[in-house]
Amino acid sequence: MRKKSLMALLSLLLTLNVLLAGCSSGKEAAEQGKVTEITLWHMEEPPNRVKRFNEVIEAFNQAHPDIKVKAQVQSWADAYSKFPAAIKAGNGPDLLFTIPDYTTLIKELGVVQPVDEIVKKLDEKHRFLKSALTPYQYDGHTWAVPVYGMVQVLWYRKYMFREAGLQPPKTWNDLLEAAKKLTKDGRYGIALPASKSMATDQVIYSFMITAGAKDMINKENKVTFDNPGTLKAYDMYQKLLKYSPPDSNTYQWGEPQAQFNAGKAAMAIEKGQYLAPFEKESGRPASDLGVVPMPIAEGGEPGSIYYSNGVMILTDDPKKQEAIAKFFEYLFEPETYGKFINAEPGLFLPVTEDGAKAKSFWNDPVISKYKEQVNVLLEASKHGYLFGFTDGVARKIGKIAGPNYLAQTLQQIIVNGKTPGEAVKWGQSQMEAAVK
Amino acid sequence: MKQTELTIQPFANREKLRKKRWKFLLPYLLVGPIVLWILATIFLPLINVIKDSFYDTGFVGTKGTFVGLQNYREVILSDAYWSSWGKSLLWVIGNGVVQSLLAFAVALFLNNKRKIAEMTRTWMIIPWVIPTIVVAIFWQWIFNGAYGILNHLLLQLGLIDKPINLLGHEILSLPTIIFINAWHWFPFMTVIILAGLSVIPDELYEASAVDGANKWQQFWKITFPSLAPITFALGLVGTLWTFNIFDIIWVLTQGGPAGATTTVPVYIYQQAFDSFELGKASAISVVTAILLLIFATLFIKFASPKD
Repeated sequence: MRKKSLMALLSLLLTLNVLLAGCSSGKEAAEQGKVTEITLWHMEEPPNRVKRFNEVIEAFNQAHPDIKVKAQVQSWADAYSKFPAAIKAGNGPDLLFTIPDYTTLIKELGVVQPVDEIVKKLDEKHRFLKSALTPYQYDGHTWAVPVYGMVQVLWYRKYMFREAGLQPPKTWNDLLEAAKKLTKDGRYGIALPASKSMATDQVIYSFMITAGAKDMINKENKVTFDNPGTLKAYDMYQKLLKYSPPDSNTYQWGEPQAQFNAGKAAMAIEKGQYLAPFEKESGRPASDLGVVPMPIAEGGEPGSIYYSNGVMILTDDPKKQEAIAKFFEYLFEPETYGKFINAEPGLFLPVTEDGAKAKSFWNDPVISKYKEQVNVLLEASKHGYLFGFTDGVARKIGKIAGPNYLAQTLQQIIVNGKTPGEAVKWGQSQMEAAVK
Repeated sequence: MKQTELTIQPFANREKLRKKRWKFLLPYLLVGPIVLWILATIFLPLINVIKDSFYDTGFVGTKGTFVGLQNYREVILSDAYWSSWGKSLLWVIGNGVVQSLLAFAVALFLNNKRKIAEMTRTWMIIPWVIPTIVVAIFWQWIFNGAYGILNHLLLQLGLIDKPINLLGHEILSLPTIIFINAWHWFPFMTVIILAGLSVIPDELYEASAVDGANKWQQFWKITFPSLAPITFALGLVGTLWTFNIFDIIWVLTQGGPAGATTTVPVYIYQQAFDSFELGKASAISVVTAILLLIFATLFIKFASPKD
């Protein structure tokens, strides 16, 4: 009898639970019918970026009571391993932040929506930078809306150069000479990443560009990595590493910046994230932070790696797409856009002409303090390139970027003792096998 | 027989049958949820991996075409795969030796009633309870080539004339990670060995002392053989667990520098999520699982303690 009562009670509780769940989901659905909810995933984890994105999104939501954009922070580490499974299971977002090679991968899942109309309207009003838009345009469509760019430059400590009687490097010879002269008394001339990582890939590619070797794979996925320019770039990198801290082969993005700000390295090659923390971390005034475009090799060309960060639309729901178009319209208005990209001042650069002139961009405390440096970054953006997107769009670039073959080629030199020529040949064969 | 007795008899039988049926079903109902859970979380993914190994699936979530045994052929002929096996064997043997030495030494030290042993018993498990990511981060600090305390000490003592980048060294990186992992996990082994030591009768040691046995002889003739069932279990489970460790290697070196610490689990991860070759990674997983099964079978057959 007691067992019967227990079973009856359990059944009643279970039924109540189901009924309540049904009621609540019914209520939510009723509310949702009035408000279009858009889920946005981004991978900008630092708290200051999350805070600023949320502020902009909340302002949009307030101005559009019939639309609710919900931002969720994710991790780049999960982007390649977990997101595709989530998307295929129907648990993906409506909007997903991206970089060009990531878009080529997610496109294979068959969920990325063309954004031609949205981009056309925005382009007419705000004028996108070509370097920002091109990496997302292929197969007759545009596959993501560019939102901000990132470009690499050469950062240097002005007072160290002054003391050594050096001018900011313009050529590779200048760079090598400066690195050599500035390496003394426990300080290194330059801090370079040399680990198997995207950080190393990016800096090496900047050297390849300035050596005239930016085309390493074309739209037919034909690999042309093994060429004199590439060889020159790796040879130069190997030489510079002599003037970089001994544990450089474990460095990614943070370590060179830490060495630079601590005064342990006179130069570093990276993007605009060096601006905001410089004064606090170095204990030196903003005027001590020098920046110039990437030095150029003899017979090379100006340029450096440029990442156009965009947003893909993954939903095919017309109502949601309409709401998303309104969101982008709001976002790219200069006074909103400047605020949005100053989530990380200096690192996130405008991708539109009017965005680059917006008061909301230039009035930011960090941007206004480092006007000279920001202008160098903006100028460098015009000569920005990305491997796999220089000669059409190489659809299989993800298979080269993912395993960090540019960095692995470097490691063949510094760890396995290969010559640059042998290493580049090795890299060529690995890349050919990867895209086969 | 009265009418009521006739009515009661079949009712009593039905009640008995119901109770018997319930008694039979109850154990299955109780283990049912966990069995379903295991099927859903282990066997279904396992079947999926085996299925994927016959397809050239690239990026996770995409559909590949059926390629039969091609992935398996590539795995068997892959130098990189067998090279990762070499790293894994060094990893397992290195961890086994270092952890065993540490665990036995500490367990023997703690196997007494002295105050210091009682105090140490608690603090000894600290390396084990610290999360792996924290272990990786602070050992990275200690071993850092530019500002790590170890290099600073060695330079001060004049033992080296320039910093050594242990985690970035093509030869020293693997032994360094072995040391870090062994430091992290040896308390687990110590606790189990200590439990085994505590049940060895003191009379055996007393009798052997009377016969003139020294400590070393007591260890090899009494202690070690008495721990045979425990060392067998630790040997089997510990080897398999250690072989499959991925997290600490990935956090510290991502398999570098230049593949120096790319063990089999790291290689599988790289194939699946760096090279976007999910089909090939699945085939590698299946081949590896089969080889580990063969190892486990042979280990049980030849290394299990004889009664």
